[in-house]
Amino acid sequence: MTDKPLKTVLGSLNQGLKKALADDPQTIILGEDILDPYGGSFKVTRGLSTQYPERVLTTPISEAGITGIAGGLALRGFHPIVEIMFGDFTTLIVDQVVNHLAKFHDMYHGQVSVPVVIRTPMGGRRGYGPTHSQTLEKLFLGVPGLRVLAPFHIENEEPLGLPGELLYDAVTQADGPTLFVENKLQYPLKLLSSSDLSEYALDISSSTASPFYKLSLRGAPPPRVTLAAYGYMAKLAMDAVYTLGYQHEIFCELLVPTQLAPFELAPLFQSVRQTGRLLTIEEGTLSLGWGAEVLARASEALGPGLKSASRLAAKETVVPASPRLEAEVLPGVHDILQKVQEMV
Amino acid sequence: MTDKPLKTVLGSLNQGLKKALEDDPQAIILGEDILDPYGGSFKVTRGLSTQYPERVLTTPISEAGITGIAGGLALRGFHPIVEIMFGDFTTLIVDQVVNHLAKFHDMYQKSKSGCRYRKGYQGSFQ
Repeated sequence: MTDKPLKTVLGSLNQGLKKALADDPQTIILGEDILDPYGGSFKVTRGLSTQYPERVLTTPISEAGITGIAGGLALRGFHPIVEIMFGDFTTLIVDQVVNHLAKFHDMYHGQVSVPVVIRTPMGGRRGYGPTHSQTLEKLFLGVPGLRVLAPFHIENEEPLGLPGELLYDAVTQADGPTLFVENKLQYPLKLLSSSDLSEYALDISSSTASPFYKLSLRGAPPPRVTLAAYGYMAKLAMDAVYTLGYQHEIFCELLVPTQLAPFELAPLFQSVRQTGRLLTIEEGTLSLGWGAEVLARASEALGPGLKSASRLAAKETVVPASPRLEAEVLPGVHDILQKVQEMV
Repeated sequence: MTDKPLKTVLGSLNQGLKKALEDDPQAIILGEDILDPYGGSFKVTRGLSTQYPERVLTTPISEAGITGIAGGLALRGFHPIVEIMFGDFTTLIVDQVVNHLAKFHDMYQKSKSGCRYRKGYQGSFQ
């Protein structure tokens, strides 16, 4: 982490947490095995407990307990950050999040706020099998009072890089609970600088609460399909945009939100108005997923302007441990290429 | 419940449970405060514990615990029915349902059958 820490998503998140602890004395981090020298299962908190031993606390293995304590701390003025070691275990915090943290503000007539940030890594492709590979954030999309964020591996004007900046802002500016969804394969990704993006035209929307990115191939003809993806799937979708353009002459525009919920999709609708075609891409299972809501809203907003719509998601079964079977269950670049070719 | 029990949704559900207990010796009901004379918060289990005291069991207030026990019973051949008193409390069983009951069939290569549920009183769940 000491060597060029900002060059990866992991480094950016680590620095975002560090800056939050440095700037905001109310910040406190709770999680399982997050202390040095181990520094957390995925090392996002590495170095922090050494520097802030009184505000980086290891906890017993009780996700519901940690989350409840964070809620209480937030009610008393702290800005707690909870690390749930694997996203799979967020099933254990549903009651605290849905029935407590997200509800208190409205339930107590705006007299209290619960600014808790819950960070967790979702996603497979590491051979961890059915219990440590899931993408479960769809369970938390559409919960009134809960914000859900997912970083994109990109640099921005701020020194932290987008992932760290998004996390820092969530911690220091939040007035309610936030689920911050990381992806295990995002951690080692290099943050894309403008030189890395020389093949792409990049646009950032300022109309949404969190950055909403739009990418297409630089100098390409008008796009025919709008792709929507977030997190690690946005990386795979970028690769697909490249291949579709250069090998198949199908030009696409990729829309990448960093706020999943509440849904703010104006930049996406703008793109689909031009292309008429929308493919949503997610790593979670298909039914009632992120893509289902995006398509429903696009269809409401665009009516007959939405000529073709499709969803790509994980197969509706467990995530296998075997790499070959796992690749069959989770959507990959090849699946994106195939779907898009079916749509045009 | 004795007077024209099938004329309401409540009566119909009550009779459905009763018939399940009668026809299927593996059926077993777990839930909070479901025993007679109270018969459950919404009376869906009324009369059942009197007739089948060994298979209608009241439990501590631990939705996750009841659901987990039901999963174990199902793995061993029972057909458990869980009553979650209010649908609001299903937030407490998400881990047992999503990460355990719903997953075991595929995770263990379809070797065991699943578990049956009655999930509370939200119309859409019933």
